[in-house]
Amino acid sequence: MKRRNFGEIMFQAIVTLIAIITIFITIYPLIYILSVSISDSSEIVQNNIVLFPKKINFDAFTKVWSMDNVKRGLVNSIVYTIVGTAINLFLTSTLAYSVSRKKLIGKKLLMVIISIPLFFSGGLIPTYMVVYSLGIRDTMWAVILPWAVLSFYLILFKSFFEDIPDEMMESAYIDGANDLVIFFRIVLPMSKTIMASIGLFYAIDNWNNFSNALFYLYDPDKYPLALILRNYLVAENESSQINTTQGRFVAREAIQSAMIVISSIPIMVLYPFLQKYFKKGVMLGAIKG
Amino acid sequence: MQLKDKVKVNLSASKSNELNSELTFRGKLKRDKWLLLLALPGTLYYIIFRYLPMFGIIIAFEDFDFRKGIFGSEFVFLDNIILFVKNPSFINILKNTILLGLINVIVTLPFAILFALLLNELNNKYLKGLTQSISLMPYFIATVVVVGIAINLLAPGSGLINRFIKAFGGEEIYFIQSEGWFRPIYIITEIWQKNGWQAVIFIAAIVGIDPQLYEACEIDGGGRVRKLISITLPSIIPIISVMFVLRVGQIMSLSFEKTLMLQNPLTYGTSDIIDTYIYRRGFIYGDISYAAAVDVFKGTVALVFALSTNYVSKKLFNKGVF
Repeated sequence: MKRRNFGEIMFQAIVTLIAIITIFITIYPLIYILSVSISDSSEIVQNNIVLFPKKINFDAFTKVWSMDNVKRGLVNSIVYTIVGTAINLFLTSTLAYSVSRKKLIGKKLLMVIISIPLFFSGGLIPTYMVVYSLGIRDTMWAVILPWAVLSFYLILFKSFFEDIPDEMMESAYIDGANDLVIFFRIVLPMSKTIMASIGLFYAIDNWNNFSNALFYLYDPDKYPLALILRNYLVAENESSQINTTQGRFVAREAIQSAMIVISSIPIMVLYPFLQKYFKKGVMLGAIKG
Repeated sequence: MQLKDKVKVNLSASKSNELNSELTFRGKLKRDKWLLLLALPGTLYYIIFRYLPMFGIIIAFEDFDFRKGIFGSEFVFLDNIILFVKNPSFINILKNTILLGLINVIVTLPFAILFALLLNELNNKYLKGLTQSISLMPYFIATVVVVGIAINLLAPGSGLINRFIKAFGGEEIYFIQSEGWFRPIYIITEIWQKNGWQAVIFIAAIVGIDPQLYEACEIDGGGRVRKLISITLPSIIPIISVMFVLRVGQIMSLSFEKTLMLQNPLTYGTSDIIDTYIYRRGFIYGDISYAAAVDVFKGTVALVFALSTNYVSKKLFNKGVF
């Protein structure tokens, strides 16, 4: 059926070219940063790096790894991400399951409670006052709890639970199970995929965001990696000449790049999994949300 | 067995006699007690972290003092908001926020649509999949990393872009320090990071177009361009309109993290938005009440945007968020 005339071939060529340029623009900055992070600093300061690394060494990583705050930040980020994601999933899935049951008493009220924050929020300072009054400032809970449930993910969960046929619950009732047992023994095992996908999204948010830590943490020992990276990037006048490893000079750009690489590794490792769920999640949200 | 019977009794009771609400209510409550228990932690979360702050707005109308507390501080009514509106930076901040939000929608949306159309026109399945996979990747990269990369590339002296400019005989540009460059940098990084994600919905819409339409067009002698103009575009115009309206409704929610990292006092003229202003006044200067008043102002403006676009969306497309 395809007409293979000249115009058609030209058109395809142009489209292909644009696609390749798009790919290039998207991955170029990432490759560049990676190259800078593993290039020798003498090449970096002479502005010799354009795409590929030159005189590869890992001085910058050694240097970053010797910074105590980076190591602590990495540990903090891992803890906040794991604990945070567990809490995110628990709070979101339980509430979503409840409101997914058609007969639930007070369902409308609960849905109103969930929907209003989509349009109006108290704002940063009043939220700070709540965190302050609860006495959780400068603890991990201040980082995790203020955004523990995102209404968008809750609605995705709810749509998923609504598709579970009522007959399944009915037969469980007959076997003498209550809703709690049904949720933990029947519904959750059925929901592994959506748990994994929404869990991944929450985990990414927990790993990437630094604003809660910026607002509520005072003790630098508790900072997550993202905040340490941010502070390093905006601190203009940090002296670059003392950046040495085993007596060798390490350029500031290399250290920045190495920190960027370290904080992005988990995302890059997870990306193949993410991508699969990502499209599903967006579709679900687009159709049902 | 018993529970099931109770459920049935309650259901029939509520059906047969709606007036007998007390019994039905208690019956339902008993029937749903485990479901309600499941809902409890999440509901408590909403009440504590989403609704208490709404009431905490009171401090915007007080001269708040930590020692006296919310209930002990002096009430000053609208003084804080009036102070903000009279502040010389008020117009600038409001303008920056709305302008950045609007430009963001107007520029990023066409890119997403073009990208979706581009993928649709690609014949090579492998390249198509690869392009889409790669375009989705930056969405997951942290804002701090995106800004870090941007700062690195744009740096004077060692930054790649300035090296290119100099190589072609141009003058070095201090991107991060210049007011005029803040918005372009914000928008370009936004496109780089989110274009693939924003295109997904348009790609889905294009995939959903009935292939018979294209066949009919081919029979009538229509080529690529004809198909694009007469079938693809008209088919996705409804979803484009909905996305546009929805996103205009959210123009106040700009990325705080990105703006904070990209701005510095030299560029406040364009880069200072409401969120960063609240942060600075509240957290750096400690003007809790004043910052809370700005919060109230922002919340109100955002609500007006959200409600009015939702209204428009309902009128035009019979489709609103609520």
